[in-house]
Amino acid sequence: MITLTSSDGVQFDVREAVAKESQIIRDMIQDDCVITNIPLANVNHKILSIVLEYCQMHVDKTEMEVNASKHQTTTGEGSSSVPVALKVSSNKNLNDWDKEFINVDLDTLYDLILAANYLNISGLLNLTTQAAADIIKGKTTEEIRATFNIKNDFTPEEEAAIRKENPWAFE
Amino acid sequence: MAGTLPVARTHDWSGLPSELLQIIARKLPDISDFVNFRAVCTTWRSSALVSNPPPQLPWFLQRRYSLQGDLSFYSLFSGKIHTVPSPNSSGNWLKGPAHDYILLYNATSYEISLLNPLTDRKVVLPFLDIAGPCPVRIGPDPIHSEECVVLSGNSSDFKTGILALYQPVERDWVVIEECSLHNRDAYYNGMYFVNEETGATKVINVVTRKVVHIVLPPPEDDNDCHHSPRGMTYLVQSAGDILRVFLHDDELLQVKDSHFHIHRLDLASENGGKPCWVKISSIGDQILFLDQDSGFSLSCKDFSGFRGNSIYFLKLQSQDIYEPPFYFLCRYDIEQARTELLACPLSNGGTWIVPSLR
Repeated sequence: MITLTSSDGVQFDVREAVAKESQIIRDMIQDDCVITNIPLANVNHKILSIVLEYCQMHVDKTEMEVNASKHQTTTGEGSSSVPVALKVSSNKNLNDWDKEFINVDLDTLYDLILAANYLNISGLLNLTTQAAADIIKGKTTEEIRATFNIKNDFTPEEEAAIRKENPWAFE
Repeated sequence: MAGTLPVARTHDWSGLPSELLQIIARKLPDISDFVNFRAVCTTWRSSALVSNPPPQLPWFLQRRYSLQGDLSFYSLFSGKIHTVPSPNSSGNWLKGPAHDYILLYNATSYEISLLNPLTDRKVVLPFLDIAGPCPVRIGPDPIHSEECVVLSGNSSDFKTGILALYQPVERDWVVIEECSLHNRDAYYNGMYFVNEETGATKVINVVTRKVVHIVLPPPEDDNDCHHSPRGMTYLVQSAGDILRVFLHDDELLQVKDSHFHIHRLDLASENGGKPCWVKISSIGDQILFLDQDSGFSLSCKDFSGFRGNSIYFLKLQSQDIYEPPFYFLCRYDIEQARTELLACPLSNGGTWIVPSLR
């Protein structure tokens, strides 16, 4: 077990495999194999618990697949159709689970993107940035600003010039 | 999901580090979303550079029957139609499919140029003695990259076929004559694949100008002959392979009945070392985009929500000698061997362009 401590001092005891979903933690453990407590200065407990939920789920699913394929190799070709079907359905479930998991409010999404980047969890970074891109799609510039709490910092002249470059995109 | 989400209350997303904004911007496969992203604020704009655009899904450019006026595009991704004023396209024929820039041909002055229809930037190419030029390959980045403008057409006396490659460094054309008349050819890696009228494929080494191989048509195609009105053969480069894509279609067929036969060129085959066509049932993660003259291939990996192993094409719907032909935009699912109609309101036919702001 490894203890991860959030920026606001809350401790999480997790299995090493779960913590190692983070590339930065994997590197730390490799460099110093007796490490048991890792403080994470940039992630508060609320976000860390969500991140760990993601890591836990992905480790569990991967282990399930490994077990399924072991089962496949030990039982021979005759019964191989069961584990293959299991693997396919677990992949599908994981995608569905990801979709449900990432249905969070935009403040949480913002923090998750930063945490996924800081902890270097490529799957979570891909999932969170894709979710942000999906929210942007089909929105006008004004709608994007309103959704993401962004103040327009262009001068009226700059804004007019930007619109003039590609007027078709703002119709 | 977007509809149920509340807005951000505490965080101002203009404060997200630039490298993370770049990752988000690269996940916008429709250029209109990219343009709106760049118009949000100064940090978002500087994180989404025009020189490093996200991978784009092609837009369908509707054929015009007058040489004037605005250009109409259909976005596969959003289902929206964009009307783009393009004064520089006036008086010219537009030819695709293409990446970034479309081919403009002026049948009066014989001027050949490239046009980015979104920015209206036009680049006039050196004079080329060619009639009815047709893109074999345009782009990406045709203005600067070698081998990015390859045209086929006829000599001006219509006696021979011509292949012409534009060399941006010398600002001149390399012209190969001696090809017979042809259409829907492919070019890849210094090799020109000519779709002969007989159904055979002639492979020409562009440097030595020699015919390297003549590949016979696949035997299955005996009934679906190349020149038959019941279909068309395309040669398309896809992920490094040359594909022979036969579209079985005519105006009498229903949408659900049009289908494809696909073969891959095996240059070092077991067939006594002679190159031959091998029938394939999948093109993996690739998506083909075909118009009436030519086609290109893209990987679906960059486009979340889009499935590979499929072909977007134009199904001929009516061909009356007194009326312009009428087409449906369709998608063919190779695995299921099924054609579906897309809800594209543009029906005059047209071509594909991967849009860019370059």
